[in-house]
Amino acid sequence: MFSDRGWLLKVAATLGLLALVLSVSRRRIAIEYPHIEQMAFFNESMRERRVLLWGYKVRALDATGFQINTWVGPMQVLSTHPVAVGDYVTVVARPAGYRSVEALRLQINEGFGWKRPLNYGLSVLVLIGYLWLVRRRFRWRIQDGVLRGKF
Amino acid sequence: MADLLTHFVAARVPGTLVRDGRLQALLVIGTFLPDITGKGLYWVLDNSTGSQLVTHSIAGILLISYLACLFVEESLRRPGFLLLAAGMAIHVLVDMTKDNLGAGAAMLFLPFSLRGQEFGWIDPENVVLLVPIDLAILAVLWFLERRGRRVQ
Repeated sequence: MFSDRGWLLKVAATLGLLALVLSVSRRRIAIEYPHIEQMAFFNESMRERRVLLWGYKVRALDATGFQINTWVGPMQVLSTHPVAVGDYVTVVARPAGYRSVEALRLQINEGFGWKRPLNYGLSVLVLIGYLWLVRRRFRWRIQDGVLRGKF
Repeated sequence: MADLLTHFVAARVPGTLVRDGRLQALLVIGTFLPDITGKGLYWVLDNSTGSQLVTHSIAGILLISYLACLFVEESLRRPGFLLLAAGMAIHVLVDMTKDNLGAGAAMLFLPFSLRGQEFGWIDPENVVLLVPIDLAILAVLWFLERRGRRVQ
């Protein structure tokens, strides 16, 4: 399992298995957790599904809840939770109708505008920095097709 | 996702028990893999559905760490696989501390079950506030390792 014998076959088989797991998972997730954009094509079979909204900005308020922008235009989130225009929210919702979902749980992400970029920026720095620091522990021998220990 | 500094620290602490520097690096690289591969698949396949969740599942951990271990020297592969998988598992455990409103920070049993798992201890966006604690832990580790080397 860990030898060099049949190395290419092992890589190909693992990649194939990973692709299979990915495609099966993605198909199942797409059915159970439709994208908010799919509410533009709402049908009754969607009602028992869950829609997950991460870090969406509140664009407008009205008597029934608030509006968010999506790739296919504005969507209505029915909610009694107090939010303000400009807030970033994370919502677990269920489809309620054409271009509309009902919030089951809602969380206001305070500081989303700076915390998220800081998170990504820091992560990239840590990744590059660490790989730079440990680069001497390995050496790349492309002609062998594998990373070889240096020592 | 938590920031990679928090993931790095979470792997680096048990990593002090691993004597071989290359294996220690594989443990830490393992903790980066769920996000790197998840984001990579997201950008390469241009499809946000589930890529990140698969790389944070048990099947994803086993397949990705096995695939990654095939790219290291033959003699390092078996322990390398175990440490890459351990690093990935540490990553998922750290992510599971987030409160994703009950939807689950990870779906561990994909593709067989879509049930999400989470401990729900911390607001997902607030993990970045752990940075000062991470830096303090790293400073203590650095000091202890330095002292340990001097004693030897």
